[in-house]
Amino acid sequence: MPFAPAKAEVKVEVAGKPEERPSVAPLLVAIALLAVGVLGVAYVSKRR
Amino acid sequence: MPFPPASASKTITVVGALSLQLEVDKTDVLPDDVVTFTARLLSDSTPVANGYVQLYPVGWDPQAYFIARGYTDSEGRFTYEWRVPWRLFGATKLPDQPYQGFKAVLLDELGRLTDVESNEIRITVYYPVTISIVEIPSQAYVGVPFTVRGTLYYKDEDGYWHHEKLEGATVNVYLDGELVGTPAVSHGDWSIEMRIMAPGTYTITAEFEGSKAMTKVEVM
Repeated sequence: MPFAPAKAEVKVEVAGKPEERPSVAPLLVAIALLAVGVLGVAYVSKRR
Repeated sequence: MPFPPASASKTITVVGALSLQLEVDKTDVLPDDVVTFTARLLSDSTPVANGYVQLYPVGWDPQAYFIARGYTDSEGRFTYEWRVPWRLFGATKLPDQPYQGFKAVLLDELGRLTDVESNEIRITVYYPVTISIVEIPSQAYVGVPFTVRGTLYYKDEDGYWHHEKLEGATVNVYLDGELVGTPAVSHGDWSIEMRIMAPGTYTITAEFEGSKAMTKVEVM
């Protein structure tokens, strides 16, 4: 069963490595830990 | 019983052996393409005008089935432009056959077949095929894999594009002319993952080779 040949072409632009955005997750964790620490210290101080 | 002498005479021209040569402008075609047949009637090497010639497909009874009839010109030529149909006389679909043969035959003045027959010309009719690259990122990044997706379809006599007969066919994918993979087609779709290691603008080419080296390629 004969099929005709076919061809398609596209151009693609390849850039350097994508910039790695600093993740906000570690910052949020640090803030949360700090807040817990501050609240903990305040709580303990108040109890005394 | 005496009888006077009597005589009768008529002129007859005896020409050299007749021969028919058949030529065609292309032998790899798609349905609806126009093929030009040229039959040439010669007596030895002299063109014969007004010869009544018939073109017919081999395998069919030339008494009943032919694609054209006509007379040779002063150069001994009978030319006919034939639009390639999907089916000959409503029978087997031409792209389902490896080729179809054609011959020319000389007819006498009453339209009967003679023994003067041409060489056979074989024409292959192909299913039209279309290949597309339908998905590719507008921008890729060095070293980051991305997927190229495409389609491969053939046109059938209903005028629609189908994929069934191309199931499992392979597509050659090139990056700037270098083969990077041969994904298989499934349900008319193919895909390949790529990774490019240096920045720049690249050409991705997807190519379906077809069944035979047919030169007419449409670049999408």
